[in-house]
Amino acid sequence: MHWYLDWRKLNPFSLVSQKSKEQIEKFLYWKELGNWETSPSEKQIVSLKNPLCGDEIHLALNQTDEGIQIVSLNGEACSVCLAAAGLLYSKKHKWKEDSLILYENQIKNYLDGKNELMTFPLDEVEFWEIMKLHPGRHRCAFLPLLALKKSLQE
Amino acid sequence: MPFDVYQLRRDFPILDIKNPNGKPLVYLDNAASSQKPNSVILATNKYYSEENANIHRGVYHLSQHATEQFEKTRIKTSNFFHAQCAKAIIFTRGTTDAINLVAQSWGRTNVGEGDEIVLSVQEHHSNLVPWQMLALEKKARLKFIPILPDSTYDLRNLNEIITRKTKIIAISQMSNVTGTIHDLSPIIERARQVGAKILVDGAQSASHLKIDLVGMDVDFFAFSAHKMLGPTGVGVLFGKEEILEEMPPWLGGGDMIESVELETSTYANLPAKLEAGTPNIAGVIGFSAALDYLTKVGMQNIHEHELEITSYALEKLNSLGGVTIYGTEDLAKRGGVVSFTLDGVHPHDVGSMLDEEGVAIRVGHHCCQPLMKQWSIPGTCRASFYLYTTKEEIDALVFGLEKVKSIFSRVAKK
Repeated sequence: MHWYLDWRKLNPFSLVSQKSKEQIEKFLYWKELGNWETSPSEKQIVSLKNPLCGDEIHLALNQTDEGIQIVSLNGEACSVCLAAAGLLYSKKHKWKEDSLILYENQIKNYLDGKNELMTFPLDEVEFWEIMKLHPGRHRCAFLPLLALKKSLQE
Repeated sequence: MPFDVYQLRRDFPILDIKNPNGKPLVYLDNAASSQKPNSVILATNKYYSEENANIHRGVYHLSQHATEQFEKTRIKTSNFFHAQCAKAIIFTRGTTDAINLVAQSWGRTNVGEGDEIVLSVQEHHSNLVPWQMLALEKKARLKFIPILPDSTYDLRNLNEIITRKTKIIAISQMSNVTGTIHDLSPIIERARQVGAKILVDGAQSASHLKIDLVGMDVDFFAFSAHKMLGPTGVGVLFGKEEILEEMPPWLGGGDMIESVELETSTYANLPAKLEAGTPNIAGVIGFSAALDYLTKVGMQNIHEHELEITSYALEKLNSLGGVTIYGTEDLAKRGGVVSFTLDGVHPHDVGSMLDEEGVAIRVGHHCCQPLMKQWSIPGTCRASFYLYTTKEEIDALVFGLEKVKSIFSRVAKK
């Protein structure tokens, strides 16, 4: 008997698909934490493309002496990238270059297994926990953060 | 030899592995790279464990044996592709390297300001970026053959696109995105009328079709070993001998010289002139085993098997609903590649969820960003087949896609 005939006997809605479903639900929830606008009115918009897949994210920004804040989001991307953008927006942080680099490094170190995300909100910890299991999607997850970094470095 | 896909799969040890979820590997990313049969793995291992020595310069037995193996592969490659002669076979690191060799050597010598380079809008970046670099340096102009909605070349304005100013036409024979197999004869004929050279990107076609280089009458043909059961890091540039003879070396170093003084050097004859430095000897010897394997199975058998699998996949995907398939519906013009999108689901999400089911497909722009822009999409899902792909694996793909659809529809309803 060919291996596939055994394989197809598996329950189509196995634990794997249950886990996938829960993850997708979470990604969509995190995406919705963002302010998604089709035509952002802010003058300062930064865009960044993922060279691997062509996805593009646009951040409308407000710059003050205190730093740069994301005002709204726009773009066409996968669920991971959209979730990351929603979470980044939800921080309502006024970013400066050094604070963003610190934030990025904390995440990178976490993904490398070097530290925990002790000071991060639970939603973010959960998101990056999932990302730890999907190294192939790290570029997607970092795209909004890298777009923000690009605006700070320009 | 009779074609038995289940028997043949036993030669590929990787096809027995399972993913971390315990699901068997369903490998449908053959347009990116093929899996390797035992004979290729053994040949590479044997070289390193019993035959390892540098080639061409050693006077000892081991080196001479390695040289003989390496050069026999050149002859074998020439015969397999019905090339003009073995000297016309240049080993490179891959298709990208081969195309860059032509752009940097032939191109820099023969393309000047105001000259035209003709490509198509669906070229892989490896057959686009090298020409962009050359055009920028030489102030040459890039022109593009458009594609029709069915992804075949639109040749209606060929005489306006390929003109007396055209120096070279660099074009793929089979699309890595849609699997469309292009009839290049009108383009080659037009190239001959205006005196332009023609380079065919055979990265996809070489592994799936029987290629007759003399019959095709192309000036250059580039392909990679790793897409046709061979190791990574080995490619081939075929060039007409008289053209290769005129080309200056691109890379300088060992093995490509005749004699070296402090200020000047003279260069070796073909093919050494264009193969500077120690090549991927183990890879080339592994490629030799890959050619033997393909010869044993038969390229015609492989093509027929892929047609059957592609036909089955198109039928199954079309019946799934919510699937957009890109490329021609004419099976006679199609190789074992199917690109598709699933309504409302990003290709990356499809790819990740299929991965959990053990199904390996490629998602994204497939190094064809201009084509994606033309279609106004960021990317597609691409399932690509080879001689060991079974209908059951297509069923597994469709089964996985049903689950993706089910999960997304349940999430969307909330």
